[in-house]
Amino acid sequence: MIGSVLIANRGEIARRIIRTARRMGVRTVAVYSEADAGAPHARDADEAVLIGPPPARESYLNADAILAAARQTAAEAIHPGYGFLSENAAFAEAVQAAGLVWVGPPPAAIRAMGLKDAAKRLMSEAGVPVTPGYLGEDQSPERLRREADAIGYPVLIKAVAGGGGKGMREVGRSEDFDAALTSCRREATASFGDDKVLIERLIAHPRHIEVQVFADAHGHAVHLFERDCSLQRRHQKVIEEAPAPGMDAATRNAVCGAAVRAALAVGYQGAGTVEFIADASQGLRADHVWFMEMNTRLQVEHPITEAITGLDLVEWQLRVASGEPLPLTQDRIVLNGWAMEARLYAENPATGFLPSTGPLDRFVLPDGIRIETGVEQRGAISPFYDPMIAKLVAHGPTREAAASKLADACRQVQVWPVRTNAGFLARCLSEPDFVAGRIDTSFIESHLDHLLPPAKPP
Amino acid sequence: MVRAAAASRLPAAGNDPWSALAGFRVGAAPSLEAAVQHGGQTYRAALQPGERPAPPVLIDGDDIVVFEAGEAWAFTEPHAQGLEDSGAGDGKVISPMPGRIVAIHAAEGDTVAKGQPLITLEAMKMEHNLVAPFAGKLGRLSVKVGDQTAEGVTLAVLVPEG
Repeated sequence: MIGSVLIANRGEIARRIIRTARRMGVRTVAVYSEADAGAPHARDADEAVLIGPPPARESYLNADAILAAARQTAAEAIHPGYGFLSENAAFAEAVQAAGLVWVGPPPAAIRAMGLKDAAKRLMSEAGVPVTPGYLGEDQSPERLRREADAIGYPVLIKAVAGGGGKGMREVGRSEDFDAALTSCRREATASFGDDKVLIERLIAHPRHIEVQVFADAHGHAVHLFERDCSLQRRHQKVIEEAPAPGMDAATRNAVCGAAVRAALAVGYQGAGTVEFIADASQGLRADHVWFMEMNTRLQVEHPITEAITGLDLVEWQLRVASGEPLPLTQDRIVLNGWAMEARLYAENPATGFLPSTGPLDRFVLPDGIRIETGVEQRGAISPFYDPMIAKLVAHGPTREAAASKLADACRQVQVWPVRTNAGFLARCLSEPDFVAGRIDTSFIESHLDHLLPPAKPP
Repeated sequence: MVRAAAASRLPAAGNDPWSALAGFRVGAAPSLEAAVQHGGQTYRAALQPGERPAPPVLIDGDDIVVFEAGEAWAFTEPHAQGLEDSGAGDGKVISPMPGRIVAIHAAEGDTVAKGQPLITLEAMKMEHNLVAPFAGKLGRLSVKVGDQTAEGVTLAVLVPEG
C-alpha cells in the first residue's frame, strides 16, 4: 500500500479522499490556490502546499506546480479527484514519468475513451451496443432508407450542417421516409446550402443510466451496479439515484455486463463509469440501452453506489493503484436498498439559476444523512470554481424512503446570503411524477412551473 | 413565514413587567401586531405576546431571514428603505452577480435596440448577457473586458432616445 498521497483537487472531493486515506493510515497532502487559503480541504490534510493564484489554470490545472508540490512533500501518489486534471492523459503520463503512482486508469485508456467517435467504434467491436445511426458518404435515397429501416423507427433525419431545429425531420414509419427526406433536404439546401444528412434513432424518453465499474492490474473487472442521473438541468446533474427505477434483473445484467466488457476492451484499471442512454418509452429494456461514453475517473455521484454496496470506492482506488487485486469478486458485491444524492448548488432558481457567490453568514446542513461539503459557515463561495457546494446523500430500504428522507433533508438546509437550490431540490424530490419514477432527461424542464420557488412569501 | 419574521421583532417574554404586559387588553385575549417588508410590500401578522418564530430565523444586519422548506426569505423592518430601482427604469445596467467582464458589445455613444446584448459577464464557468432595458444611446461605460466586478455595480448607463 502506498504510504502517502497528494490530492490534486479542492472542495468536497479533496476532503472525502483525505478521510479515507487517513482511515487507511496513508499520509495526505493537499494543494490549494490563493483563493482557498485556510479552506477546509487544506486544513484537513496532514500537509498543504500553495500552488498558485485563484484562476484554476494557474493553480489546480497547473501540472508543473502540482508535481513540484508532490516532490517537495515526498508524496508517493497523486489522486486527481474529478474535474480539473482527472481525465488529462498527458498529466497522468507526467505523474508516472516523475516516478509517482497515478490513482487513475492507464493514460492509454483515458486516450481511447477521450475520442468519442473512436470510443464508439471500439465499443461496437467489443460487442457493446452503441446508439444506432448512419453518417455515411452514400447519400442516395435508397441507401438512406435502408439504413433507417435497419436502425428501427422512429428515426431522426438531420442535416449534417444543420442547427437551431432547421433541417430536422422525425419519421415514424418506413413508408413516410422518402417524403420526409425530400422535404428535409429542401430545407437544408435553402438554409445551409448543403443537403447532406445523417440518420439517428430518435430517443423519445431519454434516460441517463450509468454503470460503476472497477478493474485491477491483474485482469479482473467488476461492476457495482447502475445509477440513474436523468434529472439534469442544462446537462448538469441535479439528482442521482441508485439503482435505476424500473430496472429489472435481465436488463441490469445486460447493461452492467456491457459496461464490464467496455472496461476490459480498453485495458481499464481503477474506478470508471460507463454512460448509457436509454429509450424509456416502453420502460427500461436491454435492447433500448446504448453506450454513450466512458468517464475515466471517480464520479461526483459515487456516494450513492457506496451506499447501496456498503463499499468505499476511494479505498478501492488506493488499493488498485497500489497493485492489489480487487477486494471482492462480482458475486460478493450485493445491492442493498436505495440511495439518492442531491447536489446543492450556489445558484438562485428565482433569477434563472444565476450563480450566487459571497460570504456564508449561515451555512447549516441537516444531520442524519451523509453530507459531503467543501465549505463551512463564516467561509465564502468564490467566483473561481464550480458552483456545487455540497452533496446530500440519503439511503433507505426503498426508493420512497430514500426520496422522502432526502427531501426532508433539503428542506432543512439554511444558507444565507448566498442563494442555493435547496428548495428546488426538495420540490423535485416531492413532485408526483418523480415519486412515481416517471423520469427522463426532460423532467426538470417540463415540470419547471412546479419546481421554481413561489414569487411571494407563503 | 410572515408570522416568523414578524415574531422575530418581538422582545422575548421575560420578567420585565412592561414587555410581559404588551398587547394586554381587559377582557380579551392579548394580541399584538407586527409588520415586516419583503420585495417592497408590507406584511402584517397578529401575534401572541412573547411568541417566538417557529422556523429558524437569522438576523443579519438589516435582514430578517426566515428559513423554510429550503428557501431563505429576507424581510426588513417596515421603516427600512425599500429596494432601489432594479435598473430597468433608470437605464442603469447593474451587475447581477460578481464576475468577470468577458465581452462588451457596444461602445459609448452607440445607439442600441431594446434587448440587445451590451455586456457579457462570466462567473463559475457560466456566461450571462446583460441586455439593454430599452432602446437608447449608451451614455457611459464604466468597465472594460477583463475587469472583475462585484454584485450591484453600475456597469453602464443607457440614455433614452430623443
